[in-house]
Amino acid sequence: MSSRPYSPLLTFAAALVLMFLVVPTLVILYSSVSPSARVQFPPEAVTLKWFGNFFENSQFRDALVNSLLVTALVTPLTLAIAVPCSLAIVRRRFPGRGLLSALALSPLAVPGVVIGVAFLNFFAWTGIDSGFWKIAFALVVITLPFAIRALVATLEGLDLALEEAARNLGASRFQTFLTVTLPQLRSGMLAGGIFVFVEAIDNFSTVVFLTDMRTNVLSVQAYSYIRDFNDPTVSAMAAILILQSVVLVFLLQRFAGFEKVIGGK
Amino acid sequence: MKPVPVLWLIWPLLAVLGLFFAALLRFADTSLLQQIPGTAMFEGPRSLGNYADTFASPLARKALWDTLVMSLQITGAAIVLGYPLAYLMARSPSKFLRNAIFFVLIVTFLSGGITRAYAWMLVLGNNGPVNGLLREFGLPTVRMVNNRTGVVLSIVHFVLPFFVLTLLGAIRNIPASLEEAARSHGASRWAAFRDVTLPLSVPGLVSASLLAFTLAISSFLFPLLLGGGRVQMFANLIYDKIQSSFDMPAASAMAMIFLVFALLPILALNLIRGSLSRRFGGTRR
Amino acid sequence: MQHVPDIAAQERATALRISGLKKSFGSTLAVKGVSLDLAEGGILALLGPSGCGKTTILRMIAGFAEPDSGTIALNGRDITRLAPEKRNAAMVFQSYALFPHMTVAENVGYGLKIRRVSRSERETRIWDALKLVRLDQFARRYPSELSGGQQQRTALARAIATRPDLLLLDEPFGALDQNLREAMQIELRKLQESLGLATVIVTHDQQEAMILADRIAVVNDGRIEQLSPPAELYDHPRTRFVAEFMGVENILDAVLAPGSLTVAGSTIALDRPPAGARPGRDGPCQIALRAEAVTLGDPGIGGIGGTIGYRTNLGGRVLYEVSLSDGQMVKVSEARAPDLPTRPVGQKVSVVPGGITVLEPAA
Ligand SMILES: Nc1ncnc2c1ncn2[C@@H]1O[C@H](COP(=O)(O)OP(=O)(O)OP(=O)(O)O)[C@@H](O)[C@H]1O
Ligand SMILES: [Mg+2]
Repeated sequence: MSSRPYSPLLTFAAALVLMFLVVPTLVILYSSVSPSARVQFPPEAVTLKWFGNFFENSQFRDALVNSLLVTALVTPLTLAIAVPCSLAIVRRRFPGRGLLSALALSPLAVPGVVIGVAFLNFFAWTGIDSGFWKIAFALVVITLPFAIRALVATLEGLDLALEEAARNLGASRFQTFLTVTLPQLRSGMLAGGIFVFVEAIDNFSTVVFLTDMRTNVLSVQAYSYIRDFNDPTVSAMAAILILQSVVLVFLLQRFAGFEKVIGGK
Repeated sequence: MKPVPVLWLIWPLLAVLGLFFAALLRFADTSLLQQIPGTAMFEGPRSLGNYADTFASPLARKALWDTLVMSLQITGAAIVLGYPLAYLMARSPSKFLRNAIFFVLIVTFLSGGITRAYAWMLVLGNNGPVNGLLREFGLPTVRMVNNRTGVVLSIVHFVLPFFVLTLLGAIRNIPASLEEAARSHGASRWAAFRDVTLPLSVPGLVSASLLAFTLAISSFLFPLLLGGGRVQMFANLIYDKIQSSFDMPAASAMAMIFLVFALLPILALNLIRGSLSRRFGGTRR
Repeated sequence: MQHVPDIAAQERATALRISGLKKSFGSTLAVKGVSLDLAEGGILALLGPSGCGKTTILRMIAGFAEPDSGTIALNGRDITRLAPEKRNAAMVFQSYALFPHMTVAENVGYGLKIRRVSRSERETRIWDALKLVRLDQFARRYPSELSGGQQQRTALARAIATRPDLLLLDEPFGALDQNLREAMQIELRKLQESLGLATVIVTHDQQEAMILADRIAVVNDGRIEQLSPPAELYDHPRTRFVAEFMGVENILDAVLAPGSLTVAGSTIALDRPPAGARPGRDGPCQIALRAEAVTLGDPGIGGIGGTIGYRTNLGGRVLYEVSLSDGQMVKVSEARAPDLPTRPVGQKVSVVPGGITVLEPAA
């Protein structure tokens, strides 16, 4: 059709790339319910035993609990730090503002392994010895830029007139923030929160330097398991993570809209 | 009532950044010290010995070179594979198609690195579906794990959603009417793209490529799982150094060098950013 | 909608011929069968309210939307399914769509470059086009360094530089302020006439359509309700929709009989059938009356009886609202002079209608 701005060739190329993107996910899902480590077609049978394995393995269980605890701490903490400073970056004029926003995003550019080694060394020096707190702090540093980026993008898109209208109708600064600004930040907080959450569960390259005997986390445990065993228990874990991300995507779509997420990424 | 002082808003951020940079400083300092042999401790005097050792080591030099080459290859692949996808997503009139692409991208993106590294081990492994298909057709199987192919492929897959989502925003900000205007003045579909959308998307393309390069160069998990010890990227070398000898000063020096290489393209970009936006910027409407 | 032949087209060849054009988006029927002709050198306005399908029609002519059915022919060549770049129909976009990374001269020369016109020839034609729109001083500037009006003229210069067979404009003056808009309208009209360029312009502003076009197609809900020269459209709207859209103040219920018209119980004798009346279509109908075509007289002179309910002074004119016996209301606009007495509220008057137009019954 002449009026389409793109050609069939483009559609075909894009379809190939999409296949490249989905194939690993499909293979994981497939492998998580297939009886042997060998991925073969047609399937011999369908089994849930790897899911059973995952939840019965005490190392995986402990790692899962630790990961969830760390995430439950890091996600709200990161957002709580990110919201006021994004407000300052977007709404206020103060000396060093440009520098501050550049520094706030700087951990994004530092390779995870470098952050890991640096914190390993730093915590050894300061004598902090709790794996949990080391991991939590490192994750806050790593995820803060994601949250700030999403929130700054949302804030920049807001119409200041709405807040002026609230003030004009008699709301105080603080009331205006609570009743007008904050509700509009919902999509940015959701998008930022989801990135923080996923990174906190998934991070490997930094966290691998900070785990210890008592505090293992899911990503590191999965790595050890893959290294030492050859069965699809990790597929079961991965399938759970994929399902979780599908749920998150629907949450995002429902409450923020895909379009917003792109701006906020 | 006065507004809340700025300091109140930013002190938590300042505290976090303060600790982060304190850690980096301490670590820069450590890189100048020496390990006390046989322990995890280290001592002075300060020297650049660890840096000299790293640059003198053929292993480290090769890893650094390989890492740079692979990161460039991965960035190139992301551009070739990602641009058509981002373009189609920005321009397709079908909401279904747009949402479908977005869904695939974001689910892939959110399902995380471990999941995808393991998935690629399964897909590319000697018992995986790719080799299974080849065997089915009586073709020779191809080794794709424990070598560069697998590592590069899996990192491309990891980087692609970041790349596409970043570029997508940039392409969507170019009004479709510009391409239509070009066509109504006689340009073919390809000419309109080449003359209008492509040049206008250059700034977005540059930032997306930069992100891809940064992610690629910091890869650690993918070479670890898919390289099988045979493909050393620089991050892995640092990890091995710590695992094998717990030589923190040496590892710190290597990490400092690595940091500089990872930041180099960002610094370079900041230098040329002015001329870039002069040539391609100014998209007012 | 019957096919309306362009009167001028009997002397001049037809440039654009559209017949039976339809287009839907999903379940919305945006264009429901549009046919029209445009003579060489003619300028046609598509006029209608927001969402009526004007832009969709224009985009089908330009090749950016594919019709579900119907044909479009330009200079005798069927272009219905032709790629946009092969149509030689240059479009001026509402947002101007100037290439931000090209200078004014590069923008204007773009179509020529694409057509592989030699550099020297290109220079001349860019220069000519820029001179025509009085932008020769600005050739080296970028679009972001121009005012709204200058951007608009650049877009126009870019479109005419290729000497297209057809010029298409979608609300080209929407973003300009009132004074600039009027100046640009006159400028466009002169330019179009001097180049003899067949032109279709989309607008929702009836004033703009009247100034620019030699024929106006009023579009309502995906159909052309009336296609007439501006004066005819103004004086004799065919349907209630067109009448309201053209700002006719009075639409009254009436009963038509051979030689007479009855409104609110008063019967007026007609010496010839009013505009829009069709033989054999007597009986209840609606009529359109412009306020300025109605005059007031004293009771008993043989008009429609009524009482002045309201009076507004509008500088040179007085606007009366006259209540008729059946509750209908007629607006009357009369010239006011210092020595001419105006009528007080409550006065009994006789309304003498002029320029009566009988409207077609609603479909
Ligand atoms: N791409 C599209 N997808 C779905 N519906 C569309 C699309 N384009 C137009 N429409 C619908 O078709 C109808 C006509 O739209 P069109 O843009 O032609 O109106 P218009 O007369 O130009 O209005 P305006 O004066 O507001 O520009 C509208 O109901 C509109 O919602
Ligand atoms: Mg329109």
